[in-house]
Order: sequence, then structure tokens, then C-alpha cells
Amino acid sequence: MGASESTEGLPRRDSAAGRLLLAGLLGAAVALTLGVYGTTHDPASDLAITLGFTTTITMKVWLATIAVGFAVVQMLSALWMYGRLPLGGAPSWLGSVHRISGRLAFLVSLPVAYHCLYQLAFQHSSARVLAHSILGCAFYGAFAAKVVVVRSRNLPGIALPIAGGLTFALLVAIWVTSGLWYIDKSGFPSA
Amino acid sequence: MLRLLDRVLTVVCLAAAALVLVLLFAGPSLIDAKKKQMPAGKAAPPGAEVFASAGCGSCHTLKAAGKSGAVGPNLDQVRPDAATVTKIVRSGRGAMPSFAGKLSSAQIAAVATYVSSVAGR
Repeated sequence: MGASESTEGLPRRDSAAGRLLLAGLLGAAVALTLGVYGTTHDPASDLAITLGFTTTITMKVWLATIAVGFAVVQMLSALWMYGRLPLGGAPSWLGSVHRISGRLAFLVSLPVAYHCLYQLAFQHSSARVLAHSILGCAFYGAFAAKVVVVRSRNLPGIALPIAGGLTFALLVAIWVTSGLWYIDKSGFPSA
Repeated sequence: MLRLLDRVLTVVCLAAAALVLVLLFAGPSLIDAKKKQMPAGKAAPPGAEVFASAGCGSCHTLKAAGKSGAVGPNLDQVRPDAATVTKIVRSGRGAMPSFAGKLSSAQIAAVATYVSSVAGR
């Protein structure tokens, strides 16, 4: 019986390891691609968008802050689903709220990322700017890896919380090195 | 209801991500094509070259340089004098970093003269 479990378990473990490797490689490829693009692309303002905000920087500060807000909702809902909050059992709708908040966070981050990459590209004029550039590339890599982990079955139970926690931490770090920095310097811009 | 919203958002996210990729990779070609259609003019003054190479137009609008950045103040509206431009480029202000380590004094003077002479015209 034990021998049978071990022989049946081996392919499953191999498969899980393969999917984790795939998630890591995909994440690294995405982050690297964005980094290479940002390094080789000449910053340009020709295709600037403001989405109804007064200026690009206003749009970026607002959307980045909203994205972090949705990410906080996703993190809290994950903690609730994993029983880490003293709120009792998770309601049936929480899974949908978790997914929707994550999708919205990703969606509102896209115009910000587009402007960072297209208009400013990869910069290293200061430690903050360099950290922001690296974190921005790493975030979308971590996001891609998390999508693979979410879609995979039979992975170690810790894989998804690590992928989700890393993605959340990177998004918050991006905001701290840009949106929060701007708010601290110039105040919250009016829309 | 939430599940429907979830599904719709999945499609919207994929479409938005695809659109961003298209803009990122096709954007430069579109701009190059537009620039090739423009007639060749006189040689640009040194300050204009500094303005372009330092990426000032990524954040600032300056019609004379053909730039429409919306991150920082619109230079055509502010119309700063050369001394103000020199001071801000050298020391930075608000969200704008100092360019003292990137540009030489001569380059800062050139871009300050250029901006103060063409802004708002």
C-alpha cells in the first residue's frame, strides 16, 4: 500500500514541480521582457493618455492608489478564506469578491504601467527610481507566475499564498516608490 | 451576478493587456511613420537637442519641440525665464529630479535659453 502510494505520488510531485518551474520561468520571462523593453525603448510622449484626469501624473497617482486599494481587498479576502481572520467561516460570495478585486487591481494598473514604460521607460536617475523600475517589471512577472499557480492543481499548499503575497508586496512597493512618494512631495492631486 | 461580473472582467483584462502590448510595441513605429511625413526643417538649436535627448518632453508640453508631455507643468503656459529653468533643472522641484548629474552646465544653459525663448510661441 505504502509502495503503491509512493509510486503514484511520484508523477504527481514531478508534475507539480514542473508547473512551479513553468510559473517561475514565465514570471522571469515577463519581467525580463518588460525590463529589456524599458531599457531599449526611447521615452516618448506622443501617445500620452490621461483618461479624463487633468494630467498624466494625476491619473497615475489615482489609479496606482486605487490598484493598491483593490489589492488590499484581495489580500484581506484571501486571509479570510484561509481562516486567518477572526471573522468565522468565509461566505460563499467571498471567492468572487477575491477574484474581482484582483482583476480590477490588474486592470487599473495597466494605464499606469503603459505610461511608465512608454513615456518614461527604465530609468536609474536615483535609488528610488531604479527600485521603482525594477519592482514594476518584477510585479508583472510575479502576476504572470501567480496566474499559472492559480490555474494549476495539486501544487503544494504554500505555493499560492507565496505567489499572491509576493505579487501584493511588489504592488505595494511600487506604489510606495511612486504614488506615495509623489503624495508625500506634492500632496494628493485633485482629479 | 458576481460570477458574471468576474467573467466579464476576465475578458476585459485580457483585452486591455493585449491593447497595452500593441501600444507599447506598435507605438514607436506609428510615431516614426508620422515623423517621416514631416518636412525637413532647419538644424535644431543646441538647446533643442538637449531638450530632446534629456527627455524633457516626456513630462512637459513644449509646442516648439513638438512635445506634449502631461506629467509636469505645461511650459507653453508657464513660460519660464532662463534663470528659472536653470535653477529647476539644476536643483529639481517637486516631483522633478535634479539633472545636475546628467547635464553639464553648458547643456543646462543651452536648454534654459531654448525653453525661455520658445515657450508659449
